[in-house]
Amino acid sequence: MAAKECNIRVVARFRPLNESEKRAASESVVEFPSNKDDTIHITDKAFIFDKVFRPNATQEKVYNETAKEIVKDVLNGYNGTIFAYGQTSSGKTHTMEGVMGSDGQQGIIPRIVQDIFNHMHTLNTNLDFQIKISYFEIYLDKIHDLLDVSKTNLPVHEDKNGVPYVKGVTQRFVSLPNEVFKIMNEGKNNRHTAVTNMNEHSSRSHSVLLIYAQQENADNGKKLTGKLYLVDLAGSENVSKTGAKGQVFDEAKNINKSLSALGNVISALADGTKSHIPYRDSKLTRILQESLGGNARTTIILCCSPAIYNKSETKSTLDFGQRAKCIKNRVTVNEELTTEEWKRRWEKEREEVARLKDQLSRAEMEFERWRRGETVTKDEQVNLLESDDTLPTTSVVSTVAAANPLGGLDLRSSVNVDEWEKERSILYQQLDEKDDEINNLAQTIERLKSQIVEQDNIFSQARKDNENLQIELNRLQPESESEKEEVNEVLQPFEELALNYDQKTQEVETKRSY
Amino acid sequence: MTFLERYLTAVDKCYVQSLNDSETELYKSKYEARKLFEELYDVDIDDKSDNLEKEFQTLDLIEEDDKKKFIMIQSDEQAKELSVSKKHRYLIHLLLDYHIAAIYSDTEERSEGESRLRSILTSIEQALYHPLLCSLSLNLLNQLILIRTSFEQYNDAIEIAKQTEDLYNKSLVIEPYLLREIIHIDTSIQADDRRQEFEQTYTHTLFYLAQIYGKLDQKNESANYCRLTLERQLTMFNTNHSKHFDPFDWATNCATLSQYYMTNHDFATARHCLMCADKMLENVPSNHAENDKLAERIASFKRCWVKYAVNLLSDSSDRLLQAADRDVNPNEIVRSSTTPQFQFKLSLPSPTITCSFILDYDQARQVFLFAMDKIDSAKSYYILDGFVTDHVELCQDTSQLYSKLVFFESSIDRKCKMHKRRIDLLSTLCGEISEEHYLYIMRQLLFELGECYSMLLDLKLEQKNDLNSNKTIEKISHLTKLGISTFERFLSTMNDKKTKEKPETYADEYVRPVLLAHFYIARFYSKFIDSRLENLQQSLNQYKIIVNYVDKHPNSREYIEQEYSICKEMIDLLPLKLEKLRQIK
Repeated sequence: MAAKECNIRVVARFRPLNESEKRAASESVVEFPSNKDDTIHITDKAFIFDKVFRPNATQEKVYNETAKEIVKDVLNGYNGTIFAYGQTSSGKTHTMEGVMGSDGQQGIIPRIVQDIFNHMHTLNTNLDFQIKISYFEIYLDKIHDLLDVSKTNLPVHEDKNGVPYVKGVTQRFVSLPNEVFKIMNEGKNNRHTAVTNMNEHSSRSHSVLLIYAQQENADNGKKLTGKLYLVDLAGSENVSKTGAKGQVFDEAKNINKSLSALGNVISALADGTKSHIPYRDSKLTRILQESLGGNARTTIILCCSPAIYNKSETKSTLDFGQRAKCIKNRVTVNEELTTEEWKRRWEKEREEVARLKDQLSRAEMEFERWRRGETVTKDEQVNLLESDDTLPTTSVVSTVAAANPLGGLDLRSSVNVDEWEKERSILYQQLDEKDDEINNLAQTIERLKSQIVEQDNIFSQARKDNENLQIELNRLQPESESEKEEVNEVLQPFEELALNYDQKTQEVETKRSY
Repeated sequence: MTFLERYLTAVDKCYVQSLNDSETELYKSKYEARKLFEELYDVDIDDKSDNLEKEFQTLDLIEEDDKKKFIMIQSDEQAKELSVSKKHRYLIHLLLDYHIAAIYSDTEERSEGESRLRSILTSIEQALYHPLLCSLSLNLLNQLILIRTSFEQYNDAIEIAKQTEDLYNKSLVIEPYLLREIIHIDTSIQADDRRQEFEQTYTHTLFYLAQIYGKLDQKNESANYCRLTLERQLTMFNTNHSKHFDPFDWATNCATLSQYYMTNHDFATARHCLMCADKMLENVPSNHAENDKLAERIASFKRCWVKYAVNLLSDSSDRLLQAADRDVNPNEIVRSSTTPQFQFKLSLPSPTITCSFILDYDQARQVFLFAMDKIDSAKSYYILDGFVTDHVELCQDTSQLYSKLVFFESSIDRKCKMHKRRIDLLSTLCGEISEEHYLYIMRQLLFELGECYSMLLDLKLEQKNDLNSNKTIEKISHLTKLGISTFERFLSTMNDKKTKEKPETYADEYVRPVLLAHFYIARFYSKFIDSRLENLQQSLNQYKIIVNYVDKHPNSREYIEQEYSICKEMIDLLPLKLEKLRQIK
């Protein structure tokens, strides 16, 4: 990857082995190829950056080759950013701050401040120069003012006409380089006192020192404001780190600590370009919008230890730098057209090309014939002006003069598209019709079903009635039997009576006849 | 101080105070805690409680392969080791061993930590499920998962996690004591509280698994473990142990999870998650300490719904297109699922938006209106001046919604109107925000605007055949000009801020958009109806720019492979056409 193509310059700095590492006879795991100053080898893997500073590089060299240019831009009203990244005791503080007040040992920040003040003194007297400092940190996407501990959750205000800024952040005027360091110390003390979990905090919070350099021309009132962000980036988390900090112990009662990372785990799952992740808008990115690409000057300084003991951390630092080197802006241009749609358009263009090609080859053939000395009659000559063969050749010139020679092509290709569209809409229509049919059928089925249910109900009702009747009947039958018997019993005397009567009548008749 | 008090002091130092160690003495408290734990080895303890006596009846201490091991025995069986205090003392030793091993692994001596942990494991692995040992086992296995993961041995970690799952399932029938009750069983602790602590430890196991699968890029598995974690948190909330539960966080995580399922085309699950998220926010008191946070989150969830609608429409049209291409029923491409993969235990209202794929304009319109409503209310929080990025994103979503709706619309006239809406929306924004400070946003807006012009132009050209009126022709010429100027403005944002010159080389992520912009411009020029000669020449020039760039930067060819070959052919053929046009003149 050519450095040019990236917006971000990434340099790596290796500190020398420290005393305890030397005592422990720790070896250096890194190798610096003697002919290259941009490459580093660590256990057979090569990393290439814009620059690699070896352990013997002086503070001055590091400043000159990483920050000096940026400072110049800031003084001209542009914005710049310097990130520092590296594990604890990798020399980050030494690189950024160094030994305050020592010419040889002071780090990038004091040198920047010194340079800005030096620049101020060289300016015309009609230029009014002001330097302001803000110092804040971003922890769990909340901005805390380090110069005023009462400001704990400052919003990023995105003014539609201006620079995104931290709303309400304290700004301190400085007139001497020393004051900057005083302010920084004040901020650091505030950071330590306000925090309940320093260990986790420092591994996950970014601190930002913001230097505003503003110049105003007293004659014409023209203002020029440059901003320089100096960002101490928090290390990346990994499962063991988070886990170790919040490991579950009922006694420890800090269980939520590790589970608070659940949101990060979940948001890593979703495809960022198509989704909205609530409250994961990274305040850092917003503030640094301009610094992360385009025309801004951005440098990342990777601070590394060469000791074998820190091998994995060093490797992960370098990996981070490699990724950052090709950092994709959070905001990239989305393409509207899907491949499908492009294809459709492409086909269109292709057809045109194919037609033209055809003409060309016919023309070439004609040309060949001319070359061979043949005469090509007018009728045989290729007509390159009119692509629509259906039109009579005689009217070519006038047609072309009157209209657009490509019009025919466009018309034809758009007809194709039309047809395609039509076909599609027919398909849809058919689809819709089928849908309707299914719908209708489903409705009929529903209706029939309910009828069946109804009939079933009637049937079962009837059966129930029937059963009831049967029961009734069964109950009534013996009753009627007994009643019949009763009746019989009642009737018998009557019959007997009647019989008697008959007999009596007969007797009477007989008697009368006697 | 009693033994227990000394132990608790060490634990506090190890897990609470250590959090505040300074960067220069990162492990100060850990090392101090280790010393405290080590001192406890020599302290003689003789705790004789009935409870302890009872628990040790089922635990025997044997010697196997030169190592003391705990094994489970039936209470009526005769134990080999009869002395309760001997067993008790050995178990306490293992507890101290465990803490010290954990400190080793927390202080970057993970290999040492691991071998110590494994040694403890050998001593207890035949009695993992004993009530006294359960918590120790679970914590120990969790610690091993962390160590294996830190060595990037993810499959080992998953194996250990399976053991943990087994342990958890078997623990459901017993009552696991707390870790510290290995020293002294505290009868004042409720069984529920013990269970809850144990459950929380296991929740962490699942949470670690979510992260491990995330590292293995097995997103579905990872999502599933995230879901299980959320489910367990919710169970805690529902059973009223709300002290460890933050409805605000839970709702946010749940809404975020919905975005995963949504981008995975599982709209039923996505909808369920989002509805749960909305529902859970109701549990956040409106006098929440940070009131603005609640308003922000409510607006933020609305944006999740907007993305849901955009994706549903977009997936639906893709599905129909694929079905049409392959001449099959859309259900053969992908079937709508109406039941979510899981259900959080929350009582939800009936859904107000479908989760089935869209088939026609009417259905699409319902989704569109639903989303527009969400956009409008989200915009009342994310106002332009103050929330530029968010506001613009909402406008871009609106534009996307229109463009998705266009697919389902059949009337060209109405299609045109929808694109016109997009153009109005985007061009207004372009006029309002500062290009200097919102460069990326501006580029996005300009590119999309240019594409809108191109689509509208294509539609108008189709119409031209039907209408062929002067008015349409005029409109076409106007659109063409606007399209060209929009893409040119897009290209000018790439120029160097100081020199105003075109860069020699574009950043990788911009190669395609930039070359496409030239491609679009070339196309626009070829659509002009008058001044054919000049315009075709312009078109040719644009094709040449693309080909020249790619020839100079061979790496960029992969970004624009197909278009590149067209450009090449056009460069061969357009001069021919131009020549002929000149002849006619």
